Amino acid sequence: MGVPAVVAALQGRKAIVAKLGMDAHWRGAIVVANALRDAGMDVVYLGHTLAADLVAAVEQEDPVLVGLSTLSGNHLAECDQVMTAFRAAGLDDVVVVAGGTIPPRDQVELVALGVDQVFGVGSPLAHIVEQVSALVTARQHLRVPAEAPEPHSARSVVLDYL
Amino acid sequence: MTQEMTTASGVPLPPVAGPDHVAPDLAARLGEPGGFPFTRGIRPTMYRERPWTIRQLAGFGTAQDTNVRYRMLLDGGSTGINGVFDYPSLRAFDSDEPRAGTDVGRGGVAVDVRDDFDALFKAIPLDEVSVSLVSSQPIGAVAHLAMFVRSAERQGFDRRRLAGTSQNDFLMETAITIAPEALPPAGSFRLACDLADFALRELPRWNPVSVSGYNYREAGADATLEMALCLAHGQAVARELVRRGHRPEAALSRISFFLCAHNDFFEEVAKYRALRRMWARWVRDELGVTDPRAQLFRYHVQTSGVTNAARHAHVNIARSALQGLAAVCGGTQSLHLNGYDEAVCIPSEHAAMTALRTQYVLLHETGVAKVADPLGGSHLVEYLTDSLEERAASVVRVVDGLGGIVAATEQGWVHSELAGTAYADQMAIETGESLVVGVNTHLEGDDEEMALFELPGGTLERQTAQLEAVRSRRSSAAAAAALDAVASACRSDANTMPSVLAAVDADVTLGELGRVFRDELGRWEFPLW
Repeated sequence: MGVPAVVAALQGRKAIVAKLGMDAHWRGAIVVANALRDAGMDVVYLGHTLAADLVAAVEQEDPVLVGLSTLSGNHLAECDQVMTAFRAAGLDDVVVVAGGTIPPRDQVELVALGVDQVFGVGSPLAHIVEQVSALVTARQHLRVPAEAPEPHSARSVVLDYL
Repeated sequence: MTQEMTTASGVPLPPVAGPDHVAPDLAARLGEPGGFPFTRGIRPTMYRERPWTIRQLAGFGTAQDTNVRYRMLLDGGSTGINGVFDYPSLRAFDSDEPRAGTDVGRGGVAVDVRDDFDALFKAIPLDEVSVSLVSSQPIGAVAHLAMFVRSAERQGFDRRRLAGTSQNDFLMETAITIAPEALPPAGSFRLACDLADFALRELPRWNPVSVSGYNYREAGADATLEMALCLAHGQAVARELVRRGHRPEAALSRISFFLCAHNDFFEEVAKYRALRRMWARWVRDELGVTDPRAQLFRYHVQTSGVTNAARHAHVNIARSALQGLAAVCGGTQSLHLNGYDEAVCIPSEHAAMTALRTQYVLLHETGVAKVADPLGGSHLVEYLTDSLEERAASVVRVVDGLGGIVAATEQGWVHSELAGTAYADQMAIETGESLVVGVNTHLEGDDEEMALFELPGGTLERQTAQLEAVRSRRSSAAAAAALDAVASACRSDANTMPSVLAAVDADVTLGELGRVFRDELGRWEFPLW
C-alpha cells in the first residue's frame, strides 16, 4: 500500500461523489474525494442527491466516474433507484462505484444491480484508486469524445443542482 | 529506542517518563477527587459512591420495535436509556418524505408524532429511569423533547420528574453530520439554546445540551481538536444562557458533554482529566462561579466506532473493552460500549448483549472502579494531561479569534480542520505508519461469519400507516394554526419551545415542524468541499 499519487488514466478526468438517501456520515466520502483529487481527478462533491438529480448532474458534467457513499444501511434500495434511473437515461458509459458500511453479501447484490464495484469498510485508498482507474480505462471505448470542458470551480457546479 | 514517537494526536512521547516531565506545582493542578479543579474526578470516592451509568445505545425500526430492545437492555442490566433516532427523524423530515423512505428505521428509530413517543417508552418508569435522547440536531431535538414531555405527561408523569439529556448540538447539524437543507449555524444554535432555556425553567432534571465531542472525533478530530471544540461550544452555550437571564450556576450545572474513547489509552485518560480541569478553571475565572456543583465537567463516553474493523469483527470486543477501560480510568459518569458488528451493521441482539456484559466485566472484575483516578500521579499521564491542556487551550484561542464557535463554523474553519485530520489519519494507515489489525496488518485467516442485524420487515409501511392515521384524525385547522404560531415565534425573539409544545398537542408532525424551521431560519450549504 502507498499514498495515492497522480494516475495517468485518471488525470484531468471528472468524478462525481454523492451521498445516498439521508445518511449523515461525510468522512468516508470526503476522504475518498480527496484521494481521487490527489490522483489527478476533477472531483465534484454533490452531497445528498436524489436519483433524478444525479442523472441531471451526470448529463451535464459527463463524468467518467460516479462514487456513491452511504453508511446508514440504505444501500440496496438507494443504489437500485440510482441504477434504474441511469439505465432509463441511457447512462451506460459512466463507471459507478459504491462505498461505505456495506456487508459482503450486499456487495454481491449491488453488483447484480449494475454497480461496477463496491468498496466496503477498510478498503485502502490506493486500492480504490487502482480499481477505478482500471474500470475507467476499460469503459473508455463507450465514451463519445467530448470537447474540452470549460474550466470552472467545483463549487459553482455544485450550486447548479442544489 | 531512539525513534521519535508521539501519541495518536501528535504529543511527543519520551522513551520513559519521569519526574522531569511533570511541571512543578502538580498538587495544585490535581486537587483532590471531588475538589477544585477536579482533575481527579467529580466526586470524592467516584465509583464507590455511584458506578457509572451503563447506557447502551439502541434504536431501529418503529417505536414498538425499539421499545422491545430498550426493555431487553434494562432487563439485562442497563441503568439508563440511550435512544438514537433514524436520519429523517434527526433532521425533522417525516417518514413519508420522498428522500426519507430508504432510511426510515435504519440507524435509529423512526418517530413522526407524539404517539410514537407513547409507544417508544411504553411500560418504562420515566420517573426512575433516565433517558438520553440522542436528538443530535437542534431542528429535531426541539420537536423530540416537546413530544417526549407531552407524551410522558399524558401517561401521568410530572415533567419536573423527567430525568435525562437531549444531545441538541448545533455542530452536529452544521458540521459533523450532513443532511439536505441544514439550518445555518446561527439558527441552529438559537434553537439549541431555546431548548436549553426551556429546560432550565421547566425540567429541573434535564440536561438540555450534550456537547458531542464524540462525534467531532468520529468525523476526523484528534484528541486536541475534540477537546477544543467541546470547550468552545460549551462556553458559547453557557454565555448565551447567561445572556438570556439565567444565573451562571443554574446554566452551568445543566450543560453536559459526550466524549469519545479512542485507542491511545494514556492520551484518552489524560484527555478526560485535562478537560475537567480546564472547564472548572474557565467557570471560576471567566464567570466567577465558585459553587463546586457548577464547576463540574460531567460527561458520557462512547467507544470509538471508526476504530472498529469489519474484518475479524470479534476483535472489536477487545477494542471496545480497552477503550472503555480508558473511559473508566478517566472518570466518566456514563458509558456505552460499541457492539462488535458496528463496522458492518447496527448491533445485533448478540452484539448488544456482549457489549452490555463487557461493561460489567469492567465494573465487577477489573478492580479499576474501586479507587478514584487510579492513574493520577503517573509521570506519563500527568505529562500528557498538561500537554493536552496546553494544546487544546491554544486551539480554543484560535476559535475565539475567529469570533467564537458559531462564527468559526460559518466560516468553514471547523469543516476544514475535521476533513484535514480525517485525511491525515487515513494516510497514516495507507503508509503503514498506523497499524490496524484486520485493516493493514494481521489480515490472514478466513473472515468470520456473523449473524447480521436485520431491519424488522415492513418498517416503512408500518411507520407511514401510523403517521397517516394521525394526520387523518387531527383537526387540520388546529394543526395549521399551531404551525403559524411556531413560525411567528421563529420570527420573534421569543423562545420557540412553548409554540412547539402546543403544536405537538395539535398532532403536528416532526416534518411539518422541520419545514417551518427551515423556512423561517434558513437553509445552509455547508462548506465541506
